[in-house]
This record gives sequence, structure tokens and C-alpha cells, in this order.
Amino acid sequence: MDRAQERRLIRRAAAGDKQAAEACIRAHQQSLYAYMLRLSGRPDVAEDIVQEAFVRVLTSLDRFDDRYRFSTWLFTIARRLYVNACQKHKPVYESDVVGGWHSSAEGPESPVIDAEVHENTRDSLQAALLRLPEDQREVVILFHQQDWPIALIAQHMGMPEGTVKSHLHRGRRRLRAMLEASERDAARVEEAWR
Amino acid sequence: MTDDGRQPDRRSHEEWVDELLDRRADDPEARAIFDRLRADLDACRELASLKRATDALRRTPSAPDFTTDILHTVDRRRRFLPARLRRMVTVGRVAVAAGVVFAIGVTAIARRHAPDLAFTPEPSHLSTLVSSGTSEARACAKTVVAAVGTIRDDLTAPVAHVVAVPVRTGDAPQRYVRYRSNSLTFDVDRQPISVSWQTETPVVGGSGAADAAGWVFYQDDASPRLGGSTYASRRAAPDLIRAGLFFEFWYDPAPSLPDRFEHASRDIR
Repeated sequence: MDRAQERRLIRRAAAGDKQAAEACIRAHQQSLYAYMLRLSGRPDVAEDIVQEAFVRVLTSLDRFDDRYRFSTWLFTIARRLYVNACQKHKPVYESDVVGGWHSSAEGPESPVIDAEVHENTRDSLQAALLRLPEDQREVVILFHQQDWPIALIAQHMGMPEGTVKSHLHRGRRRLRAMLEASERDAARVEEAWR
Repeated sequence: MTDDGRQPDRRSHEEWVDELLDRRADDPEARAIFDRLRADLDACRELASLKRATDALRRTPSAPDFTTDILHTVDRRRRFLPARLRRMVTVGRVAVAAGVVFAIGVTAIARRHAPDLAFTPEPSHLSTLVSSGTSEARACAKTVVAAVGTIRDDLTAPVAHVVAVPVRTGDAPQRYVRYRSNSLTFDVDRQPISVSWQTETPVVGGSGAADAAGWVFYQDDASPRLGGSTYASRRAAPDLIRAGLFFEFWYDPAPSLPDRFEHASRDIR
């Protein structure tokens, strides 16, 4: 969908056109869900945030500034909801009784993360992503999954472009190292079963 | 120097790889970087493994369809109203907000032009409170004396001596303050007649008022009429004592039988 089409759609949705609102949702729900799922590592959280973000956006379309991309606005609101949800759940996920939400303060050796990785995430990519520091993870996801340019990521996350590049550099290498380690582990397990 | 006279580019292969992966290089540049990296086996390995890791991110999980749920929620929170209706709602909201602002403005102007016009009670000085408390306590004393005088008319003999001990069930101000029957004593013909009475209004307010008026009040644990038996009196917190306007008196003609009260009330206003 090009910018002009997107603007027309948003204008119609803002005027109360339900079909236009539906088209907006259909155009962006897949990418927003993928972003939130990779960021949070939890499908239930991703679903809740995607729905709430769309509801907020659609109920305040008259405030949308069409100089920006709709997706940027949508992702910014979703990100804010995610950060708020993390803060709200912080005392819960920091205890090792409930291992659902993750903390950026926790390092790769954290037992909570380890348990979470084994129990809640099945694929090694998600496990590796969850071990990345929050900022690195988000930068890597936005750049490599959503194909956002570095300048837009810097604006979205409120950090200089140089910092985004350095997060990308470190994040990619850490991700690669963890994926390779998990592949080695998988190969060892397979060998042991033979 | 290179063959063509330029300075050799001393960037490490990591930097070249980053340049490729960050999509900073345009097509010809990317091709040149790729050719350069091809000669270096480690660099090739690095690029391949990083590319594999980042490509994995592109395989996005399929999302459930949220459309119905979202539209339903939006519909519930703010219906898809026609623009005209939504404009009316907006105008209504603006009108309410303007009304509030107007009311605040009018209040501010009224305050400025008539400072004595008080919409809310102003805080008063402690000295004012003490002096008003003192006068209240004096009035209290006068009303008790007057009430006793009124009672005295009903009695057959003059009252010589009055001792008043208020009975309260706790430190919190009570709806009624009852004085023990055996503590408010009318000395009639040198035979003490017990009287208990209670104030209609809560006993709260003036600070230091009771002492200033020269009256000594004592506080007891519980009313004997409520089944209290102990008489562990202690000096009442003076700031809990205040005059009441309406007094009720119970005459107890037989003090030995604690619950036999005869009731009489006096409006002493």
C-alpha cells in the first residue's frame, strides 16, 4: 500500500468507515504481531498488545499526523503499551515463581530466563532473541524483520543512529553465537540418542 | 598506496560485513565489498553465518486474525458514528469544558472584587480557635449551671453541689456524652441525689477550653447504661470538650438500682 492509498484509507476510517478501519487492520496486523511476538516471546502478550494498539489507534485517528507513516505510529503505540505492561508485571516476572515476562536486566546466565527458554519458547531463534538485551533485540527485530531503515529506528527508539548501528552490530553477533551454540547442543543431543 | 594511487582501505572484514548487512552500500558498492570479502575465508564464513541468523528473523510466525475483535472493541468504546454526530459530541464536550472554565473565571473575579465572599471555609488562626474554644467552654459551663437551675425547680430542695463526670466509650468523639449517674450529684438536704445527663451534640472542638473555663471534666471508660462497670476515670483531653445546646437529664431516685432512671429533658437554648 503506497502513502497516498494509506492516507485515503485513514481519512475514511477516521470519518467512521468501518471497512476502511478493517483494511487498516488487515494491512498491519501481521507485521505488528510478528514484531510483538519476537519482542516479548509470548503469543498471549503479543495478541493483547496488538489488539489494544489497534483499538487505541482507531479511536484516535483524528489525531494522526499524516506526515508520518501509519505503521510508525502504530508500532510506537504498541511499543509504549509493551513497555508499560513490562513495568506493570515487573514484580511478578522478577520472582522465580512465575516465569513469563522477561527482564532486560537479566543476563544470559539467568536461571529465570533459562527456565523460560525451555518452557515457553520452543524455537532456538526466539530463545536467542530473548537473551539479547532489550534495546539490541528491538533494533535487530525492527531492522531485519521489519526492514525499517536505521534512521527510522533511531527516531522510533529515541537514540542516535550511531547507537542503533552499534546495537545492530553487537546484537547480530550475539544472536549468531547463540544460534550456533544451540545448534551444537542439538547436534550433541542427537548424537547421544543414536 | 594501491596501484591506482589511492590510500588502501584498512577497514576490518567485520566492518565490511556490517556495511553489507546494514544496507548502507548501494549495489555497485555492495558488489565491490563482496568481491573483497570473497578472498577472505573467515570473512565469508562470518557473512554467511550472520546472514543465516538474520534471515531466520524474516520467517515471521503467522498471526491470528484480530479484525473482528478489534472492530468489536472499537465499536463498543466509540461507535463508528457519522462525522456529523461525532462533531456534535465534540462540540458538547467543548461546551462543558468551556462552562467549567467560565465558572472558574467567575469565581476568581468574584473573589477579587469581594474578598469577604467565602465559598469555602477559610482556615483560622490558632489564637482564634483557642479564644472561640474558651468562650464555648464558658457557654458550656453556663448552660450546665442553667440546666441544673432548671432541674432544681423540679426538686424539692436546693442543689448545693454539682460534680460532673462525662462518660465516653473511647477516645473518638461520641454522638452523646453521658455523665455517670453516681458522678453528677445533687446534694439535696445533704443527701446526694445522683443524676446523669448527656449532651446532644458531639463533644469536639475547642482546645484548652475546659481548663480555661475553670471546669474539670473527667473521662470514663464506658457508660453504665451500656453495661460498663469500671470507673477508671482520667482527665479528659480538653480539646474534646465542647458545649452542647441540648441537654437531657436522667434522675435516678434509687442509686442502688443502676438501671432505674426517670427521664426528663430540658431544652436550654
